[in-house]
Amino acid sequence: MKTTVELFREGDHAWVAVTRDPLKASHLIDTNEYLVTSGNQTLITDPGGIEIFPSVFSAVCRAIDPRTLIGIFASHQDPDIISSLSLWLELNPKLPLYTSWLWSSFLPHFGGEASTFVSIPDEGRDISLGAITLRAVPAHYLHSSGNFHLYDPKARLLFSGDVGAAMLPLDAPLIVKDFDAHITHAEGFHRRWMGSNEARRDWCERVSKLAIDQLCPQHGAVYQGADVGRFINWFAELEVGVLKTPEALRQAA
Amino acid sequence: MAPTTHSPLENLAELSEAAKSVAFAAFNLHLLGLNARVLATKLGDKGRAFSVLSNEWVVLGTLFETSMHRLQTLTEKLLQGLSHSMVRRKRARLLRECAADFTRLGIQLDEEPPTSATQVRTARVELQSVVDEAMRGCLLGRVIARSAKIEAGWSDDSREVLTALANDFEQQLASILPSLRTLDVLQREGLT
Ligand SMILES: [Fe+2]
Ligand SMILES: [Fe+2]
Repeated sequence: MKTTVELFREGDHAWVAVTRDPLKASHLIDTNEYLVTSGNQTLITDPGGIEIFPSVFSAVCRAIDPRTLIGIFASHQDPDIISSLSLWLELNPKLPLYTSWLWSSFLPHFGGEASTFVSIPDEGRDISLGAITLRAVPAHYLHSSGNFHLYDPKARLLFSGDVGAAMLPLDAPLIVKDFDAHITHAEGFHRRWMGSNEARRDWCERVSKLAIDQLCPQHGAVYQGADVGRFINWFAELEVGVLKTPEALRQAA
Repeated sequence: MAPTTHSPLENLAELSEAAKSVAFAAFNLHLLGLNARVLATKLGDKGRAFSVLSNEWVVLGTLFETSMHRLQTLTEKLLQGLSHSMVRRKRARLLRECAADFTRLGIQLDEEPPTSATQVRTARVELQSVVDEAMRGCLLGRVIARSAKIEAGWSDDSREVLTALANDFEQQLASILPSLRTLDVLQREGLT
C-alpha cells in the first residue's frame, strides 16, 4: 500500500502526498498523488491509474475521510494520471474533474458523464476549495498539449505534474536532499518528454515570479526551499523538445 | 445507518471512518483508565475499592486498544481486497458485453480469482469477531462505570473528581457504540 506524507498544514488547510508503494509492480511507473484540504473539502490531484487504485484509495482513507472529496484535478490526459476516473466516481458519481478543455471529449473514454468534466480554458482558472482558492496554471506542451499545474498561494506550493519528475528507486526519500545527485534522475525524462523550448522558457519565466516553498511533481521527489529555484534555473537552461536523430532520442531516454 | 443503497466504495469509506473513530475512543478510554489508577493510588486506603475498579478500566482499555489495532489491520485488508475486486468486476462487466465473441474464439472469461474473494470473506468474519468482542467490552465497561459511580459516592473528599472521571468513562464508551453498530451493519450488508 502507498504511504502518506504531510507536506503542509496550517489549521485545517493541508497538503498530503500519497506516495511510494513498496509492493507496486515494477513495470508500472511510480506516481505521487496529492490531497489538498481546506476545512471539510478535499481535492485530489492526478489520482493515478486504474491498476494502482486499491493502493491509492486505502492510503487516502487513512489520511482523510474520503467522503470529503469534492473534486479531482487532472493535469493532463495520460493513463498514469487519470485512468482510475470511473472508480473514483463510484465513491461519488457527482465528483467534478477539472482538466484542460482539450481533453473534455477524450477523457470520457475513462468514464464519467458530460457533467463530470469541468473544462479549464487555456489561460487557466481559479478553483475554490473550502476557505482557499487554488489556481490552475498553464503548462501547455510540458509535456501534454493541454496541461495545467495547480498553485496554492497560501501554502506556497505548486503541484507541477510531470515537470520536475524524476525516475527514482522506490526507496528514495520523498524530499530532495542532494539536488545535484537528484537531477541526474530527472534529466533524461525532461529532455525527452518536454515538447517545446518555447513553452519551457515561458513556464520558467511565469513560475519564477510565484512564491513557492515546495514544488511537487507527479513522479519522483518534492523540491523544497532553495531547491525550488535551483530546479527552475536548471530547467530554464535545459535543451528540450523534438530531437532530430534516433541516436539523440536514445541518449535522452 | 444501513447503507445498502450506497456503492461498495461509499460503504468502505464509511467503514474506514467508523474504524478510525473507534480507535480514537479506545485510545481515550485507555488514558482515562490510567488517570483513574493514578487517582486511586493518591487516595491510598480511602480509594481501595476505586483502585480495584480502575485496574479493571486499564485492562479494558488495553483490550480495546488491541482489538482496535486488529480492526485497523482488517479495515486495510478489506479496503485492499474489495477495491481490487471492484476493479475486476468493472472489467468483467465490460467483457461480458462481448462474451459471445470470446466464446467463439475459445477464450474463457475469468471470474473473480477465488483468492481475493476468500481474503475478503476471512477479513469479514474476523471483523465481526472484533466488533462482537468490542460490544461485549462496552457492556462490561458500563457495569464498571456504574460501580465506579457508586464507589465515588462513598468518598468524602474526592466524590466530585471520581464521579467526573466515571462519567467521562461512560461517555467515551457511549461514543463508541454507534460506530461499532455502523461497523456491524456494514460488515453484514454493505461490503459485497
Ligand atoms: Fe504525462
Ligand atoms: Fe506522469
